[in-house]
Amino acid sequence: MMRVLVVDDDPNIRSALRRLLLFKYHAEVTEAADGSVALQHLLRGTFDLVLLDMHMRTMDGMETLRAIRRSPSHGTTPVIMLTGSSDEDLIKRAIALGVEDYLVKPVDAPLLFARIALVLARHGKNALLDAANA
Amino acid sequence: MPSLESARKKFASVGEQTLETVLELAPLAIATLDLAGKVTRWNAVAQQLLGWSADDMMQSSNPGAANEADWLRQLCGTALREGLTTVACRRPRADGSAVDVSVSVSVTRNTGGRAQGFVAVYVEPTVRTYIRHDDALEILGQLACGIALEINTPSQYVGDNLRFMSDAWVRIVQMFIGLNRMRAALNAGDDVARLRVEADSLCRILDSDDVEFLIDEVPKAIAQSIDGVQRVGRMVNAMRAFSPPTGNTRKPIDLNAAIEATMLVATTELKYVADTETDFDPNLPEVWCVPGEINRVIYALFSNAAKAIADAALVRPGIGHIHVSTHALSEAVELRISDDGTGIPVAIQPHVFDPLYSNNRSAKDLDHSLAVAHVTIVKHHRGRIWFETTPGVGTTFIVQLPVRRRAAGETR
Repeated sequence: MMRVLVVDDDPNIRSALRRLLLFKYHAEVTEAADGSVALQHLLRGTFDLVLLDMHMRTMDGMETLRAIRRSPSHGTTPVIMLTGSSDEDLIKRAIALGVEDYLVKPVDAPLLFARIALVLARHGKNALLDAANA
Repeated sequence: MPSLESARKKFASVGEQTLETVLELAPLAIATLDLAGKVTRWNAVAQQLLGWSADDMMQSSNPGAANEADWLRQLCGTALREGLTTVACRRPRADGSAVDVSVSVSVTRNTGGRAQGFVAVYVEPTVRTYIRHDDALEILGQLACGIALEINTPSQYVGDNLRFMSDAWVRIVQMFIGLNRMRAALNAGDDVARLRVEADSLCRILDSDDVEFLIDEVPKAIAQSIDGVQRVGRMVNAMRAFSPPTGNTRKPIDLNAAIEATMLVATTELKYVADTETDFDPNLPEVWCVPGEINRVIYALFSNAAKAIADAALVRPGIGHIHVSTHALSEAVELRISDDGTGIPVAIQPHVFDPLYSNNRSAKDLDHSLAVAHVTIVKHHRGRIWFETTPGVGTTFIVQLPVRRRAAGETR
């Protein structure tokens, strides 16, 4: 089963993504309202994918991404950033920090699914999608 | 037959009279000076603007008027050397107050090009002249950016929910088809084995986790989507309250509602830096005002508070607090917006509402919109605006707007 950590400060976005991923992939979805909560979840469990919002009050997406990449246990966990900003500098900084993909909200669900498939394939996790679609 | 010379004199006389009338009736404060720089005319608007009478100015009969006349004389010297001279400045009034004006001085010449004297025109800036073009664009850009970010959020989850419901519908249709097949098999009197096949097929769909999930989640997705669409609608309505600067019709407004609408528009600016708490007086009377102008003042105060808190967070990280309250006073309504940001440095405090100071781009500590807010409240709405601040602790801006009592028998 695919395990996804959804990090966003808007509860509506989190629950809509959870619903979508559950129905599409039968994924196990964990929600975090900011970066610090996300890091606590990452300390306690393992995830196949992190969907990370950029703008959050307590610990924003960039700080969270930096912390994830420094983490010995989650340094290579794929992260897709979902953000309302199309600021190129921000995208470049995120890429430099090792983000797998960067999508500007509002993201169409089929595009998100396509990017998830690409990222998981890059990490040799195609089996997760195959299992979900079985 | 009149000679050419007498015709010219007559024409010149008519011209002078016309000029006299224009100078006196023009809605501008105008002074004329002779070549020596002595005031020869000081029209009614000028008297009203600065408070010095024409006699005071022409005879320099009191020190304040003499000072103003002397200052004009110096400008005349500059105009004679350099041509049309315009300065933006603050001039003292007879009552001890001061007024921000733009003063232009030009040399008057005869037909031969010879200097005859000077004309000085005082222009009091209005809100529209205070708002520079790039300021207006900046405000518009800031608002549009904030609104775009705020509309993005409901767009994302409404889109996700619609996609989910679209996929869910496929599953629901499968169930309907299964049920229809069952009914058809029953109606046709099919054998038990055939009925069992259809029943098993339907049960496989019903037994899957999806059914329970759909029963729980579809209503939530619908409710959330309706909320999202309403959120966008509220945002659009709030934006409408920010009419363009040309819309200057006075209307009665509910100040509490105006503050809430402005907070909605400023959500993006506020939510990442501060928690905002409101304490609205439920018995606040309506205020007659130009709604768009008052909304822009409220926005400027919120924006200023958010910036002060963001600056403070650079040295003491964390989320700040903004407290907004309204109160009904005997003849006015009062709005207070407090923040726990940087406070205003002592050196800057006298210049907070000074358009000439904040117009200077090097004065980064000050927001030009506060100067605009001052003109809007004080000059356009006969209200008051001031602040209480402690550097390093925070600032409270206080706005008072007079309440227009409705006359007996008056209907809105």
